[in-house]
Parts: sequence; C-alpha cells; structure tokens
Amino acid sequence: MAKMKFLCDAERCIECNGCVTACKNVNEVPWGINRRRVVTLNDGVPGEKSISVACMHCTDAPCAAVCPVDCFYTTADGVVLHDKDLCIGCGYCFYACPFGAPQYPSPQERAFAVRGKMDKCTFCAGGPEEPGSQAEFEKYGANRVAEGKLPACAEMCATKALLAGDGDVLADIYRKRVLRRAGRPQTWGWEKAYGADV
Amino acid sequence: MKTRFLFVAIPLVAVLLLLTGCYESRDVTLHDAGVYKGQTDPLVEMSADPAYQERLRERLLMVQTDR
Repeated sequence: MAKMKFLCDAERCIECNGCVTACKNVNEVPWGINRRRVVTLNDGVPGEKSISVACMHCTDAPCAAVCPVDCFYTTADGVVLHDKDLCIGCGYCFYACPFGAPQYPSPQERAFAVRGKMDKCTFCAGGPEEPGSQAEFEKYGANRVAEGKLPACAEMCATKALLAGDGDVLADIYRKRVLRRAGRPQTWGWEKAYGADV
Repeated sequence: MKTRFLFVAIPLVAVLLLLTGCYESRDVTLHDAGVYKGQTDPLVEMSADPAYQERLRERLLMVQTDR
C-alpha cells in the first residue's frame, strides 16, 4: 500500500517560494494563511539551506491524537485530512504539530467560508465533500488527487527539490540523487538525528 | 370582543415565540473518543484502489523525476 509523503531536497531548494505560490494559486488560499512555507536555515551564511514545509501527513499524526472533537481522518494512502464542520478551532492541533502546519483564518476574513476553523495542507486532496464540487473547493481547496494529479507545490517545483507521492518511490528517487552526488544523505535533520560522522 | 381577542392572541404569540427557543435538533453528533464521526470522504475508498495508486505512481514518475 502506497503511503503519500512530501520530501524536500535541501541541496536543490533555491528558496524561490514557487511551491508557496503554486499552493496559494491552486487552492485560492487567502492572505494571512500559509499552508506551505519555505524556511531557510543559517540565512545569509555560506552553506545556508532552505526547506519547504507544510503538513507532513504523519503516519501517527499528533494533531489527530489531541483533537478533542476527532475531526481528523486518514485516507488509505496516508493523507491526513479533517472535517471543518466538526472542527471547533480550538488550536490544540497547532500546539501538537511539530511543523506548525495548522493555520487559523481570521474570523473577519471569513476565509474558506468558515469562521476560525483550522486550515492546513490537504495534499491537494480536498476534504469530506463530493470530489471536485464547489462546496469542497470553498472549504478545502482543490482536489487534484481525485483527478489523478499530485500536489501542485511539488509538480510546480522548478528544481524538483520538493517531491510528493508514494514514499517508496520518493526514497528511490532521492537515493539515486545522493549516489549521483557521491555523498552521504543530506536529508534535513540527519546530522542532529544520527551525528555528523554517520 | 376585539380586546378579548387581543388578550388571547398576544400571549399566545408570545408563548409560541418563547417555545421556538426550546427547539432541539435531533441531528446532534455524540462524541466518542478516537472515533471520526464526520462526513464520509469518497476519497478514502478511492485511495484503496490499486488502479488509482498506480495512476498516481505513474504521474509521480512522469512529472517529478529528472529528465
């Protein structure tokens, strides 16, 4: 069974923010809400690294674990989605998420036609409405996955730094890149997790 | 006669208006810890289909790999 994941190759990301723009464009994400953002580590220092971050669709999602109304569900291929009709906008998921993915539209802006409900990356898979319907688009954004496409952020990435799809295929693509670069994996967080010598 | 009618009609309307506040929806979602009780997403069923997964795999290899 495929498990959908994002992978950002820090060696390729040039901080162009094309992924952020693609996401905002495809899902009509309003001002003040960022389903995806590019984070630069050691900005301005030689060797700086940038990574594109959004909901990572965790296998054991902490947001779902802490949700007091259990508005989260996971598709068979591992995409973590939520029902905005159940969400009460409490913000627990924001505290739980290690990536800062959950966003809370301002009640004044009435973003996504709801007030203060949580909004996050849907892996371009919409939400619990009829796929491709107007109701789904207004609440959750585009449902590209139902059309046989993958997230716009990854498909629009000019340097192919950001990858989205079946985790096994992504790992294979990344492994081949690393072999071609003739180095050890440069995955973000690798040194912190395994030490600089591994 | 008219005054008598008003004495009956006005309290009756007032009582009816007050009672509308006592309406209780029978569509309440009762919470069970750890159980998702929201709307069913057709994508959940669709995503288990091997043909669907193969289509997404082909798309990934076509669009996101180096040329």
